[in-house]
Amino acid sequence: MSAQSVDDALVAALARASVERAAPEELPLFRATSTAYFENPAALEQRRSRDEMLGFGVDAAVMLVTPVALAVAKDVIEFIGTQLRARAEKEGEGAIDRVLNRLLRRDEKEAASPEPAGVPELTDEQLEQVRALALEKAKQLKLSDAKAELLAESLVGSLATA
Amino acid sequence: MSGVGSTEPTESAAPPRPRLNPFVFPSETTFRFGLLVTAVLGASLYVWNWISTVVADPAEEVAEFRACFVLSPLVTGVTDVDEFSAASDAFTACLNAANRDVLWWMLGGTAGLVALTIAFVLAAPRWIERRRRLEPLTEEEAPAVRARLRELVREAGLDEEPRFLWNPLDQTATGLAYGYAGTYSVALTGGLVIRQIADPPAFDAVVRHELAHIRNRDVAITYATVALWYAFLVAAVAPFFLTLLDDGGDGLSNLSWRVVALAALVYGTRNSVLRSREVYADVRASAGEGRRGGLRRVLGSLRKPVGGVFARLRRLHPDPAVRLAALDDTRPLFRFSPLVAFGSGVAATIAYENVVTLVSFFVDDPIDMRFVAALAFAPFAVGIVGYGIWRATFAAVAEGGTGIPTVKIGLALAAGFLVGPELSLAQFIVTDDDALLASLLRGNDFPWGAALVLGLVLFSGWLGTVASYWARSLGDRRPQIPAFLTLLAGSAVLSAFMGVFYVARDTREAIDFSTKGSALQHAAVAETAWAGPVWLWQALLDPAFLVVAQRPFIPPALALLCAVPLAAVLVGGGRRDGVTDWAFLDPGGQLRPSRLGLDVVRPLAIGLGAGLAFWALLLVLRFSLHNGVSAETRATDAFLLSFYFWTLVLALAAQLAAGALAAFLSRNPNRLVDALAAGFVAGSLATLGIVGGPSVASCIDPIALNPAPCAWTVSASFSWDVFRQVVAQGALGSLAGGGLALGLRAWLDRRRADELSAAGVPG
Repeated sequence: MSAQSVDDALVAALARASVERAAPEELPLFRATSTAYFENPAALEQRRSRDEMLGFGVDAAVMLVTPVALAVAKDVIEFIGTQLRARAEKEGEGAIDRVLNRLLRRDEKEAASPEPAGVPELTDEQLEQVRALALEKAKQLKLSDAKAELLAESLVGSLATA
Repeated sequence: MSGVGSTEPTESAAPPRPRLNPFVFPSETTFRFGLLVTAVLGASLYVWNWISTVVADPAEEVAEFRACFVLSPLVTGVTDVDEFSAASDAFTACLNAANRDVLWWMLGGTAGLVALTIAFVLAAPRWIERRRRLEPLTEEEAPAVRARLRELVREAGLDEEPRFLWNPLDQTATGLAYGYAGTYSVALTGGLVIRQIADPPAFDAVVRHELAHIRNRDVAITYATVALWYAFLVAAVAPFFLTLLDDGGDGLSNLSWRVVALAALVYGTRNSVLRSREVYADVRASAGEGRRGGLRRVLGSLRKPVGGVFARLRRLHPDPAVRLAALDDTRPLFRFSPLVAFGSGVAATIAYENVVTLVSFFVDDPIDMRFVAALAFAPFAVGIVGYGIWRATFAAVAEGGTGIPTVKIGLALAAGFLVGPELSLAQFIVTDDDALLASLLRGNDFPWGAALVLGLVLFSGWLGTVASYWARSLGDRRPQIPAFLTLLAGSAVLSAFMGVFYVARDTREAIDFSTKGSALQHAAVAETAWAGPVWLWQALLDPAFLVVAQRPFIPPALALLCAVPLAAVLVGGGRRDGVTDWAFLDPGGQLRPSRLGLDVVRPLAIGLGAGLAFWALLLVLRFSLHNGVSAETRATDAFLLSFYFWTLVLALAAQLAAGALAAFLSRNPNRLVDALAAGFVAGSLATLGIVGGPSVASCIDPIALNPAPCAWTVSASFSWDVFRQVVAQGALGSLAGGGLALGLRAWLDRRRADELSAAGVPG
């Protein structure tokens, strides 16, 4: 994780928090999966190669939550960044950093440390926008409806309790 | 886990039968690949032969060949035998030198195709790893997964652990074994690795399947098959079409459909190689996990493929239902489809002429060159058909049967042998008259077509007999080595058959010419002595027939035909029927081979009797001629030739009678084998009588044709010629006699049944 940029670390933290709730069985492989994802995020959406037909013969994809969670988290973080930048114009640049730091500390198990004063919260409306965005992205990545719902809820829950 | 079906094994009332072990015999994959390689290389030889003619300077070629023709003995007009021979050698050497460039083009182009194939195979692992974005699956990343993989490798019995790589972002739950010996690797997907946690049986099933590919040694074959296909397109089909663009018109259309047919054959064979290996990998994997492991559930979750026949031929994986069925009962894997025999026949003959062309650069004799070329194809054709028959026979014998019917297999193989040459690229430059199938469709060459079909039906029947005799005689002992050795013998027999058949047909015009000469010879002899009907004279003494009948490989082939089935008696004495772990994948299996009381003595004794009868008749004939024909007449060449002719007739009759009697009195399942064996023994003894007669008779005046006290000897080379002729022609005689006896016996059996039926006795 040390080699990751702050943005990647943030995405990984948010995705991990979501996976913990939506697909805890995938957690042992989360680190390896996220590393592969950040090396080439586009790989997730690329088509399978033909030589896979020489494999076992399973052509139905088993949708893993982790890669989808990472992709969704990336979009969500970008969305939140945009939202917070708008608020920063009113409340100052430090607001963004405070939110990001809070998310990062959560990932690093430092959530118990004292909360800095004046951290901006996401509004209910923004959280609903995040949920809709996550749901759409997860479905776009072919996650089943049930799992997409679960992932979106988990993600919003992670943000709401961050 | 999503994507995994919920098919659960159902409890049935009756316990399932133990599954027969399909790994007792080599899988078809290897032989199909071998046939694919020979067909592709043969086609490549033709393509590069063609290209060499396209790029060559016609004027230069004509000049070279003109220079050669000047050396021809027909042009130089030499009459002395030695000078004629020297001129002929010089002419042949000149032609070979002129054609040397063609040889290099053929070998060079084909070597290029092979090199490209090897390059593709070597590059495949890196290509796969790059395309699939694979990275090593490390202990640090997934310690539990690595630990389980080690256990599965140990369970699979692999000597060396393959590399395990993965792509965590790959959503599918699948694996892929790739590489070649020493560099085997298994690619896992993220979707599969997560199953090690969420659904361990499903993870185990897929990994076991991939490890089974390595254990079955079909991974390198798989990638070589795919590589061969692409190399064929790049290094043969593409340059061929490029050269054809200049030709245009009829040439292009005439050749295009043949290239398409050839490509379709290669493509279809490739796909069948890839499909057949999957079922064997499933079965191997299921042996590790038992009948109720995760593999069944994973296969049950696969989608049923859609589409018609063409879609099925394009598929690289078998229908999941077929894969599932093989887990329940492996017996369907032991069946042999006539369609496979047909494909083997096509593949074995489609490039045969091209290989003959190559061999012609090294072997002068036209029959020998065809025999050598056949050796390149026959082992693979026999490997597929022979092992198919062995496998099916083994399964039948295991359950108390005696064997399998082989007529359809023989007919399918013969159909393949008829269709294959039609698809050959070589047909582009020869007349349609040379293609047997086309000729048959025009109503010509029926005897040739009948000979081919009958020969291959009999050969398939012989393979079935061999498998049945040996499988039943072996009892609970493993059949691998006998199967291998008997099929090796079968390859030699098929090579001999192909060599003889194709050259005999090729020389049919020469036969027409030759028989005119032998008819004149018959007429000349008939002026001095009785020479019998002209057709019989020609059948036994025409040079065109003799040059085929006296091939040195025919007697060994005939000896194999007789000895290989009957030699099963040598292992029959020690058979034990009991529980056999090697023959079944599950415990509790029991082989139930039916007893085979093979009687070898009877046909050999009949042959011996017929041979001795020949000796007796020969003595009578010599005595009669000594006393009934004047010494002057007996001293003429015409009389001696006539006498030799009648000894051959007598030998043929002895073999025919031996074959008929042996078949009629036989107690063995295949009476024609007995007929052949009896005929072979009778022919061998008859040869001794023919070549030993002059020496013996010259010492015993009452049976001497010409007085020369103990002075006549017969050279070893002539004796060898006589032996080859007598047993080759006698084999046809003994088969004919055996066939007649079978017909008579069947007629008698039917009449007896009718009589019993009329008398009201239950049959």
